Amino acid sequence: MRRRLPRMLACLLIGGGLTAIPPTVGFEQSGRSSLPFHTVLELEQTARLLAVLLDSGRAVINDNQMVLEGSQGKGLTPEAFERQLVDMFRGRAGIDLHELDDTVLAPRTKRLLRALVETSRQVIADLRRDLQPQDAGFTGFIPAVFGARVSARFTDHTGVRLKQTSLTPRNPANRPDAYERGALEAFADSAYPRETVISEMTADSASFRLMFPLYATRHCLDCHGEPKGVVDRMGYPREGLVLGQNAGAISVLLPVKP
Amino acid sequence: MKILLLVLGLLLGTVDGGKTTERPPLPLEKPAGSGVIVHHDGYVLTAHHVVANAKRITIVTPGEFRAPAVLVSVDVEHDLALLKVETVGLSEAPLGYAGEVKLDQEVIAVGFQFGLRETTITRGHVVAVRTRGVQRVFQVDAAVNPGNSGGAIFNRQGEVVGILTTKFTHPSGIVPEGMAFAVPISYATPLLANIPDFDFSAIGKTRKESKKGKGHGDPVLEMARTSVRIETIRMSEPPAVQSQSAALRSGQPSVPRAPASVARPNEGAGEEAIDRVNAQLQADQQEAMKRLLDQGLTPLPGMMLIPAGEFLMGMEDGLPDARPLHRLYLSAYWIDQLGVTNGQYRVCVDGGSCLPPKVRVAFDDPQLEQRPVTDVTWMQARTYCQWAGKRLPTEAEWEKAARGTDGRRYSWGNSDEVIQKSRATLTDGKASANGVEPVGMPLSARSPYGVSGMIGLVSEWVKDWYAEDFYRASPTRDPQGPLRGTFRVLRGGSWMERPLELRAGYRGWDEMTYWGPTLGFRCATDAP
Repeated sequence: MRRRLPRMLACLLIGGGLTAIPPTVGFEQSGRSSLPFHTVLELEQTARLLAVLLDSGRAVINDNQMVLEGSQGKGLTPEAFERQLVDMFRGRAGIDLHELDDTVLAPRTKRLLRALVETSRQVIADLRRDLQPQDAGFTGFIPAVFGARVSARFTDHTGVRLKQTSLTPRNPANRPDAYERGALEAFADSAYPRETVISEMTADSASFRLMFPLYATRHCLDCHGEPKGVVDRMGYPREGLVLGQNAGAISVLLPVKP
Repeated sequence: MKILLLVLGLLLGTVDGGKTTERPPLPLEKPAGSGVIVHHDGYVLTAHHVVANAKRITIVTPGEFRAPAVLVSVDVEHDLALLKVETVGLSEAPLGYAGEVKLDQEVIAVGFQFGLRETTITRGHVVAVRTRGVQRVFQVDAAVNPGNSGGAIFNRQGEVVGILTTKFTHPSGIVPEGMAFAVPISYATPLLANIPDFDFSAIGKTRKESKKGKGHGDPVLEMARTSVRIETIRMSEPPAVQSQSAALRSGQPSVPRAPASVARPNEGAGEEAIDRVNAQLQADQQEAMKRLLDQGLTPLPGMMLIPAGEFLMGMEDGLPDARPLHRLYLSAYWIDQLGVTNGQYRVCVDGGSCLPPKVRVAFDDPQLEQRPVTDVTWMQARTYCQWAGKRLPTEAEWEKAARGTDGRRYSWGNSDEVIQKSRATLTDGKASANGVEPVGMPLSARSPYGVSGMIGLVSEWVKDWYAEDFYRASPTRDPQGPLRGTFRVLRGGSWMERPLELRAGYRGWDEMTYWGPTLGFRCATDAP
């Protein structure tokens, strides 16, 4: 389909390998849950919005690849990033993060959304601080790296685990577990309805699980597109994805008890 | 599944000592599933797939009262259907509040397993809540078998809290034994609204009443009294959509309706037929304009009025995302006769409301002022239209304006000749650098409503998110596209695209932050 200007630069998917997500011991506790259905729906909304927000951040990084590259990572200020993130999230979720108080979301949902915006902003601020003047050109700061750094920090702060995963992850830390694999296989089926999540809350688990599908953008294809098998500039063989194809998912593990 | 049911039903029926022989010998009704009486005037709730494609539906109560049922309403997405039999005074099941259903809570499944005459009552627990796409279900570990489908699950108070469905796939891809899925009863609300005077305030109130001592006795007996068996005779033909398209392909004369041209697509129709439709559509348009003027409203400059009415959207012979060919109703609207030009866009940029195109070469060339603006993102397109007091057209609005009502291939009809000729002009040396070519669009390439440049100039951003499966579940009135997405739809294209991509029904798409030398837009607005 309409693939026009092949543009330089890196991609979204699961890659990087720069930051590994810490092990997630302690999420699955024993004991049976007796949550009412309406609370489960609330958890689902929270998990879905967190996934949309993380993916919105990835999309902002995707859109700013040229800026980041041209300026050794300095071109994107935390303020500009946050403004674009809020815009992107408003477009995709219909929620204005600046007017969260006026929404009917649960208090915990609002708190977690705010925390994720703050974590994302910090990751951008740290990127600017840590870059050395001699680092020129490609910094390797691609959406997947952004996502991994934000996820790791967010998990430390809130106990909510966010993870980018795919059936063929480049970063071994992103390998899917059994539940994630089932959902990823469903997403990979071309008959699966677009943009819709798969989730579960079981009586014998202490956390809500949700899988949010991701789709390959043009920037992704620079590293993950054709020709399949040919090594990209990060040193990985290309996956041969095409524009708009499912390219993994964001996995959310939201503990029932805050 | 259907065959399995039949075989099992017959097999077990025979073993049962011939009880099933009471059924009328012809035509043979087959057990299809279960249902639950939700209103004493004969309303029965069941799963959609139980009655899907049924020529005749029969309800059989536990007391062997047998009556034909009609389909009142369906919700295919959630796999629910509401039936009605002509009777009064049935025992109805109270409905519960799905929001209060707790994980690990005990539930009771009632139904007619294998289509047998005896009610089966099994107990279990809600072990999970699962979402997959548009479906959300309770996973229940009660023993459930074919024939239970469409039956209710009850809470301990004897209230219906869900309807059993088989149209849900476990993430593992298999349904483990002794496990079932039920659609929460809350999703039946739109269906129940079809019942005159349905008392929604009674939902979840049973507990108090029964404490007052109505004394029905055993709630389980009550559950059994309100559960019914459903039998159907199925049509041998494939579902409606396909049979419609089959009729379309065979080109049989169809039932005349107004406007007559809507009845079947004009794919393959000759120029004469196209001319006839054009004349009809232009007459409709002028009449609608006249009505507006009579109301004292002034026409909008540079815009064409598209009158309210039905049209055919999609293509049967295109890519999968353009299927099926389907009939939609759109309210009246205005759409720009030409795409937004560099000159028009400059006014917005100069006023500080719009950002300049991402690539300014064409934009800054005074020679190209009258050409469509390009290198704009979806956001920029939307901002411009808002600034102009308009909005982006929906995908359906774009297609109707480009194609008229008769499902033709291109704006001008079905002939590829216009494309060949226009390409020849381009390669004659008159082509500009970036494919945005002569405003001298041939008059013959106009749409039946007089809208120009929809095919042959640039791809145009429209409002909708892109989803390849949207047509399959599209609302039939003024569809607004999917609620969420990653890509936005692009319609139309330059003469240099492949002929397939120049069809009026072709759906392009791209990232909303993308721009390019062949990406432009036009605006639309509601008509009163």
